[in-house]
Amino acid sequence: MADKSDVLQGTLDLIVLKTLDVMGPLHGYGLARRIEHVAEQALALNQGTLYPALVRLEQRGWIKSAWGVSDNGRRARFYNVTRAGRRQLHAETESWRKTSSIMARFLEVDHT
Amino acid sequence: MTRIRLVLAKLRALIHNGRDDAELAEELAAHIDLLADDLVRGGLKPQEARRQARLRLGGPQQVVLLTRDQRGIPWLEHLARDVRLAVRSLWRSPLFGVTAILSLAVGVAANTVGFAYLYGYLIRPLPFTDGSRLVTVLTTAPSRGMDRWAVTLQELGDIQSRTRSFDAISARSVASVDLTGSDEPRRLMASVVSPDLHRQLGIRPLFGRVFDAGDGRGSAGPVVLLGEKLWRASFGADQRIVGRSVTLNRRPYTVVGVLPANEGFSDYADLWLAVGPEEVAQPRDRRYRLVAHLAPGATIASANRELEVLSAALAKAYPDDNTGVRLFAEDLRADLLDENRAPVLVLYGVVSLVLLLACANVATLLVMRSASRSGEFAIRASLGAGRFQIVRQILVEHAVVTLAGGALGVVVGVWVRDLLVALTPPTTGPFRFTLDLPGTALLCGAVLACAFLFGALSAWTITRQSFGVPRRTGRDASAGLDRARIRTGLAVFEVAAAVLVLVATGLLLKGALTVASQPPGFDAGNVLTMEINLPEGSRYQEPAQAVQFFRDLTARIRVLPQVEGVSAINPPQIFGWSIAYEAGGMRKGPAGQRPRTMDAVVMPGYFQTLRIALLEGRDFAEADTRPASAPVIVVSQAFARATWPGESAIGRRVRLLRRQGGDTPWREVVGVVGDVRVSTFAPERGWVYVPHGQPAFTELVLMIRFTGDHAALVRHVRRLVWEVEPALPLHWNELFADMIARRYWQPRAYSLVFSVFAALALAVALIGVYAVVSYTSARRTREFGIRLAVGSPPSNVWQLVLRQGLRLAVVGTAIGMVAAFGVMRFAAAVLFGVSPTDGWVYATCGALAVAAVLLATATPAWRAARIDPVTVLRCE
Repeated sequence: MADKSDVLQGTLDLIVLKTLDVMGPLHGYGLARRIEHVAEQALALNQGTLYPALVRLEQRGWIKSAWGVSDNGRRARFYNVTRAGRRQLHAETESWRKTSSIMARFLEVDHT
Repeated sequence: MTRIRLVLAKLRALIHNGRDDAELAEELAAHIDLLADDLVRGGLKPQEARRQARLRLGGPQQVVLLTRDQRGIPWLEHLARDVRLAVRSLWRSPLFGVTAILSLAVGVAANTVGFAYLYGYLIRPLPFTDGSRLVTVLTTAPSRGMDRWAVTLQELGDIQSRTRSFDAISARSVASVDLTGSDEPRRLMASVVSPDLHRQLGIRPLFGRVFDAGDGRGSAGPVVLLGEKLWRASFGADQRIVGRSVTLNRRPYTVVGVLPANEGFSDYADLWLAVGPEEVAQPRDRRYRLVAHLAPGATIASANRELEVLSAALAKAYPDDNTGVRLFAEDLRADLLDENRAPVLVLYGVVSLVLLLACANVATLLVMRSASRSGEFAIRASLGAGRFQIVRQILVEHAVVTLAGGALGVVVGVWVRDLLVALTPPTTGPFRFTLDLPGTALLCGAVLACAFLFGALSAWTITRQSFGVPRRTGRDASAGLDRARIRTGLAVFEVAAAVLVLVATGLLLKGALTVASQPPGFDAGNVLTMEINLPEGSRYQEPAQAVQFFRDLTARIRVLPQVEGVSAINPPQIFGWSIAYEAGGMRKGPAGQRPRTMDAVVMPGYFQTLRIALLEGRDFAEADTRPASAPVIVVSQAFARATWPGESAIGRRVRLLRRQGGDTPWREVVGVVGDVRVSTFAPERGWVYVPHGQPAFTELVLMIRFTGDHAALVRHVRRLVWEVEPALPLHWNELFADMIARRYWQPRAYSLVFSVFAALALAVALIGVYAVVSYTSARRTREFGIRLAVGSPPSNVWQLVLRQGLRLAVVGTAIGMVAAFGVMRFAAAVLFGVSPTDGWVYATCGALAVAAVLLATATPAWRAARIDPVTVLRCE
C-alpha cells in the first residue's frame, strides 16, 4: 500500500509541476482539467487527490498559491511554480528520463 | 533546507488547522462550482451537474481529511483529539475521575515521601569528594566486648604505612571542652579530627580556612574551627573572629575559620579541634572513627584481605592492645546508616505497595467504567474505528488520569516531605532528603512505568471484552467468566497487597504498643539534668576528692525549697553501651559468648529520685562510697531474672568485664530494683548499678526532682556550683523527659508514619474491591433479573454478590498473609521484639480485611437484590 502510493505520489507531483510550468498559474480545477486533457482518458484522476499533492508541494516550497478570480468570474485559488520548483522539476525530469530510458532498453532486450 | 521548511510548515499548520480547513473548503467549493459550470455547458441539468462534480472530486469531506493529514502531523493531531476526548469523558463522570486521580495521588504522594528518604539514605552519593569510594575501618574483638568498635592512633599509623588499599585516611573523635572567658562558661562538644579530614572530604569553611598539616604538629599553637551555630550564638556572627583567641579547657586557641552548619559529618559538634601532640601522646586510646578513600583499583574485599594480615601482625606487635582484635573495612554509608537502614527499606516497601495498590485501582476503575461503555466501543468499532484506535483512546484516558494524579501526588508528597524534614531534628549527618534531578527522574520513571503497566493491562482487558462479543451490550452475562479473570486478579492483588501492608503495620504497632503499655519503671517528669565535669589535674585528682565534691554539692542542692530529691549518674540511662559480665552460680560460656548488660555509676538516692522501685534488699548507702568499702552492686529485675532464674539475687556475686581489659572486683548484690524502659520502643534491657566511689568519676550528671519553675532552679543550682568551683561550665540543663524525647523521636515518627500509610493502603484497596464487585454485579443485572423473574427470592441474589466478595476477600487475604509471612522476617530488626509471625496480628489483620471487603460489597449486593425484573427484561 505504501509503495504504490509513493510511486503515484512521485509521478503526480512531477505531473503537477510540469503542468504548472508549461501553463502558468492555474486553479485546482483548471489543473485537473488540463491533466485529464493531456492524459486523454488514459489516467483516471480522482480530482480530490490533487489537493493533498498541492499542499505537499507548497509546504516544500516548490509552488506558491494566491486567491484570484477565474475566467468565468468565480473566486479560486491559483497555483504557480517557484524557482525552487523549477529546479526540482528539472532534476526530476532528468532522473525520470534516465529511468524510463533504462527501462525501455531492458524491455527491448527482453523482446528480442 | 527543504526539510526545515517542511517541518516549519507542518508546525504552522498544526496551529492554523482551523483556518486552513476553512480555506480548503472554500477552494473545494470553487472547484465543484467550476466543474459543474463546465458540465452544465456540456448539457447536463444544474442539479445533476453538481452531483457529478462532487463525485468526480471524490467527496469534499474526504478530501479535507486527506489533505489535513498531509498538511500537519497526523499522530500528534490524533493524540490531541484523544486527550480532548478523554478530558471531556472524565468530566462527564466526575466521580470516576476524582476517585481515580485521588487514589493515584495518595499512592504517588506516599511514594514520593518514602522515596525521598530511600534515595537520601541509600542511593544519593554522599556529598563529599569521591563519595562513592568512601569507607570506614572498624574493629571487632568478641573477647574484649568490642563490636564495630573504634580504632587507635597506633592502628591508624600502621594502616597508613603498611597497607596500600587506601588513598587517604582520616580519624575523628569526640571530646567535651569548656569554653570560658566570654559571657558564661559553657560545656561544648568538640569533634577532634585529623588535620586533613576536611580537605580529604572537600568540606569548605563558611570563611577562614580549614585545618592543614601544620595544625596537627601544633607548630603555631593550638587552633580551633568554630561551628556556624556556636559562632552565631556566642560570637555574634562576627567575621573578624578569625585570628582571635578563645579559651578552651583554660588554654588559648586561635580561631582559623568557621564551618557551615550541616557540614555533613558531625552535626552534634559545636567546634572542631585538630588531632595534635596531646592526642598523639596517647596512641593506645581506642576512640577514633576512620574515614578513608579506597585507592584506585582497591575494593572493600581487597582492603579487608590486607587488614586481615595487618590484624594478625598487630596482635603480635602489641599483644596487650591487639590480641583478638580484628580490623575490617566497611562502606561508609552502611556505617553511618546503622539502625536507619531497615526502617527505611520497610518504609519504602510499604509505600511502594501503596503505589501499586493505587495503580491497580486506577486500572480496575477504568475497566469497570468501560463496562458501561462497551456499547459505545462496539458502536465506534462498527463505525470503522480500529482496535488500535480504541486501545489508544483508553490508554490516553489512563494517561490523563495518571498525569493528573501523579502531578498532584508529587506536589503533595514534596510538601509532606518538607513537613517531615522540618519536624525531625537536623542531625541526619551527610544525608539529604531533597530530590535532586536524578532522584526526581528515578521517581517519575518508576511511577510512570508502574502506571503504564497497569494501563496496558486494563486496555487489554477492555478490548477483549469489547471485541469478543460485539454489539451484544450487557448480554454476555454467562460468558463473562474468562474475561473476568484479569479483573478478579486485580481485585485479589489489591486485597493481598493491603493485607501485607496491614500486617506489616500491625506488627510494628503491636511492638510499639506492647512496650509502651508497660510502665516505664521511672518518672522522668520534673527531673532536671545537669552535667558536671570537674577539671582534670586540679584539686580532684584523688577519687575521694571527687566523691566529696559531689556529696557536698548534692547536700546543698537538697536543702533548696523546690527540690524533692537529688542524685547523680554516669552515663544517664539514655546512653551507654553494653558490657560483658560474669556471675557467680552461672554457667560460663566461651569468651565472646558472655552475657552483656548495661551499666551505670550512681550516687545514693538515685532510685528514689527517679522513682525506680526498690524490690529487694537495699539502696546504696553513704558507706558504700568510701574508698575501702566492700564492692557492691544493685541489679535490675530483668538482669536478675536472666542471670538467676527463679532464685533470689541478693548475696550473689557479679563481676563486670571492663572493655579496656584489666581486672575488676567481684561485687555482692545488695539490692534489686525495677526495670527501666527509657525508650518506650526498645525491648527491655538489664541494668546494673555501681555506687559512685567504686569507682569515682569526675564527670556525673545531676538528676534533680523539683517543683515549680525550671529556669529559677537552674539559676539556684548554678550559683551553688559556682560557690564551690567558680566558672565551672554546666552542660544540658534540661528536663530528663525532654532529653528522652529528643533521643527517641525516630521510632515514634516511624510508627506514626507507618500507621498513616497502612490506613491509606486499606482505603485505596477498599475502593478497588468496591469497584470490582459493583462492576461484576452490574454486568450480571440481566441474570439477576431472570433469577428474580423465575421466583428466586431477593436474598438469594444478594447472597450471590456477597459470596463473590467473600471469595475475593478470602483468597486475597490468604495470599497477602503468605507474602507477609515471607517478607516480614527481613524486618524483624524494627519490630521491637515482636515475632514476625505473631498470630494475634495476623488474625486481626485478616479479620479486618475480610470485614472491610464485605462492607465494600454490601452496596452492590443491596442494589442487586432490588433489581426490578420487569425493567431488566424490557430493556432487552
